[in-house]
Amino acid sequence: MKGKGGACAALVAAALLCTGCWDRTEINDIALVMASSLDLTADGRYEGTTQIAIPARQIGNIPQRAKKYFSVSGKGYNIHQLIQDEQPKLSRRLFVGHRRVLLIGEKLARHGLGDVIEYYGRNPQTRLRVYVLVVKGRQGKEALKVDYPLEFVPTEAVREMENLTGGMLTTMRDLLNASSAEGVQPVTGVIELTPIGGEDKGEQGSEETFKLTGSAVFNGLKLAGYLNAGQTQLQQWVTGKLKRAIFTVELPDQQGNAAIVLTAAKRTIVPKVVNGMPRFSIRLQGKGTVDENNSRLDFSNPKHVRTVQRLLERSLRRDTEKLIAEVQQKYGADVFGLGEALHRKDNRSWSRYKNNWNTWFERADIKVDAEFTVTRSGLTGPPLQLREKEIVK
Amino acid sequence: MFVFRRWLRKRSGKLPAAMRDWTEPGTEFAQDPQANLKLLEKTFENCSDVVFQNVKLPGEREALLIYLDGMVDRQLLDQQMRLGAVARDRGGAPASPGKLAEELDSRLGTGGTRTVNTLGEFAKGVMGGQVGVVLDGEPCILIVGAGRPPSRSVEEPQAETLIRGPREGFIEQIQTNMALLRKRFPTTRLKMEPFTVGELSDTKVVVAYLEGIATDSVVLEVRNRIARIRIDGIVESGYVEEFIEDLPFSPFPQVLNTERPDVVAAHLLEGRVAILIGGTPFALLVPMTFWSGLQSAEDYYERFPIGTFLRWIRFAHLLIALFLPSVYVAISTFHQEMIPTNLLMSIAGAREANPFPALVEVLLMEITFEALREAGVRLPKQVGAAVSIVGALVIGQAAVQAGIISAPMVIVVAVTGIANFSIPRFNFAASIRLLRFPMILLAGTLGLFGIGIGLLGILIHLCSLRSFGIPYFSPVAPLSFGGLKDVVIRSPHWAMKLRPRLTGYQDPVRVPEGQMPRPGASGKQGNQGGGAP
Repeated sequence: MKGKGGACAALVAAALLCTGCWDRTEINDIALVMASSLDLTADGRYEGTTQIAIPARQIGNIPQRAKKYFSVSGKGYNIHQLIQDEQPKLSRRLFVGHRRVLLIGEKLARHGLGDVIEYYGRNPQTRLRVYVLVVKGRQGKEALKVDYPLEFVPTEAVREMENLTGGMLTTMRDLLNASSAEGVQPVTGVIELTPIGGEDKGEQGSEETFKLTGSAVFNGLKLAGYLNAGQTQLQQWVTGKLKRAIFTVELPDQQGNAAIVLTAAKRTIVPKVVNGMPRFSIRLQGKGTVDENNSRLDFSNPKHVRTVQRLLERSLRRDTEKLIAEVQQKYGADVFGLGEALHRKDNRSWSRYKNNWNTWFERADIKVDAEFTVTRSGLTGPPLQLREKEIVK
Repeated sequence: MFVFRRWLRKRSGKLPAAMRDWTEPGTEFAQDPQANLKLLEKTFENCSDVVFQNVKLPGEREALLIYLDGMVDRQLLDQQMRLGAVARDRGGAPASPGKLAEELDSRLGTGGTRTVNTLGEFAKGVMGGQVGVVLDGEPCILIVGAGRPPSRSVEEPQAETLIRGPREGFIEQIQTNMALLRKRFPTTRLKMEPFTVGELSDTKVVVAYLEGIATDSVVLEVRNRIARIRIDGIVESGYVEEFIEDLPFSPFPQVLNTERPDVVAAHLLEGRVAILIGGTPFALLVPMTFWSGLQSAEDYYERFPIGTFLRWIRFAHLLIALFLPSVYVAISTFHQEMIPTNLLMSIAGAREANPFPALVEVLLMEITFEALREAGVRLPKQVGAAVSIVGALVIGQAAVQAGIISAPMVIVVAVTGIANFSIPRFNFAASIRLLRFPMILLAGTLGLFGIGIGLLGILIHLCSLRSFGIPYFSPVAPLSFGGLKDVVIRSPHWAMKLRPRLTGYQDPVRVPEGQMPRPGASGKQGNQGGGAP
């Protein structure tokens, strides 16, 4: 009996130790991928560039000009092929678990993201929270060349920017969700390369820097067009993702404006089918505070607060309707998830629309209603610098 | 393991030579005093600490005193001899040894004065620190109780220091230790049953418990297990501990030891049983639970929020001490995606120049740390400081600067060491230290999966372990909600109303209801102490 127990233990130990099933990798045997880009070459191949952090240069005192990262690239007819092209150029195994940013060149985006989505959906090593960004008008690899002095690798800046702007960007998970769902079309973040003009370059090597500029609209996983930052905010409000925003309200009577910081946003979509046509009424509800007052109004008077609310509601309604109309006409892609709302509300009639929802979306009747409450306006009612008689009480 | 066990069990059989008695105990003294003297001289041959002293008692009688140098109170002896003489004088005729013994005992009350007839008894008495008196011409021999073996005075315990709490500690003298306990419970309900263990050492072992509170079955089990011990000598409480444990191959201690009478008192009140052992300041406490390994006496002396906080700190540090190095190895070699990116960068940067895999690195450091700790404990105090300097310099700095060990690893090992020191019971902390190494190996071979296996194994073992029949993991498993009051938190004394379910439940109520201090509470209870009307 005892002998048997010992033999069993030995067998288990042998199975664990001798079968070569170890996947132990020391930290200094992996190449930490921080960002990668995907482009489409002229001959129809994928071109990938991978930005890899150099750990030894990440800590301690290093020369100012020493780069903290380097890049390799590869080409191939599919993504595995391009990785196989890249790996021989590296002494360490590519490790994508820490990749923060995936940049897609505009050309590839217009060509379609189907293959990319398939690869990342299947590959378990990819982090699902990698931000997917389209590089507006340029190639992805160009964006990877941009140096950025604040963060340890330039693309880390993208992540930090995203945190500051409050969830404007799309992660791989969102993209996978949107592309597999019915009645909604994916959007992704957009990065734009802009020349550094006039500002101090901060010891940068490159002549360009990047900024986040709204979002890219996809139709059937193909890039259809762009929304600017303001439009993106409204789009996110309609989809219920908006967290942070600042609105400026023009006050025509007082020749001034006021800035309102959003503190809470809600939306309700009520889908309805009238005479076989889908109809939506969207209600945006928001709360915010007056943070800047460039008019002569005294905001300690509720009357003026109501005026601002009314003006803001009007512009929200107008802008959102304009945005929806533009998306309907120009892109024909339901980036607002209205189809999904209809699907949830009325499954039976949804079955009629779902096969060509985009065309139905183009023709759908959409009404927007906005309701905004200003909760605070600060302790100083009127601007401090104004004299008593200049203030509109 | 099996081979190891078999090896340990080998060589049983015949009683070792040391255990056979050399002084044939049954030998009776002869009628002839000269023959007796010869016999005694032969018995105490080559025992240079035995003193043969001829004294002249007042009158014509002579006496031979046989005693151990240094074990006898000379003053008391002198007094006794004089009294013996008095006994004779008053009676007019020479007093017989029996009468003399009675007389001495009643006058002095030192106890233990008696006549003996056999050589074995006599030798035992003399070796126990008493004085043998051979009155001339008498066949039987008087044993006079005048022993005062060397001992130190009661001092502050060295191994368990407290900020707030009694400063008394047990000493090597078991009588003193019993007195220290009795002082805390001046009641006959505190029972102290004597045992003698060790064929040569004749060590006194006392089983102490509070009658009516301690569970009878546990007391019975303790008695049986102690009575079963057959050994040549008991040098320290550890000898007894290893004979009475439930599962000798468990890494966890199943018997608590303490130097503090107050700790013993607290455990007795919870229905546990204490075992005092002669010759050591450490008392054993059974049954032990896992959680008592994480409790310090001070938890109960300081106010309860502090006690609770300290317990949580210890729980956290228990986990750190057991798992931190293994988790570091597992995550940094198998699951790099789990480390936050910025932290990974720092670790990767620090490890860049390292020649060793993380597993080897952590083993090197842990072993060095253990060696340092051991050296610090064993070395004389004057050298100890040098060790810590060498340790801090060589390991803390030089190894990192030379690029042999990475800085994060030094931090991990240091934090683990500190966490281990925060476990209050030394033997419990040692078992955690021991378990750390298999955990590191599991983590280094199987990653987090290995840690999961190790954790499960430890938990299963803990849940199946028993100490004197009481589940080791109680009151968590088996769960008793009342018991959690003294595990998860240290609830205030007025709220710990019942004794632990598995030990002191014969007489469960400890604190009557409704004693939480609050305004108006004293008025209702009659307010005996005076004060507010």
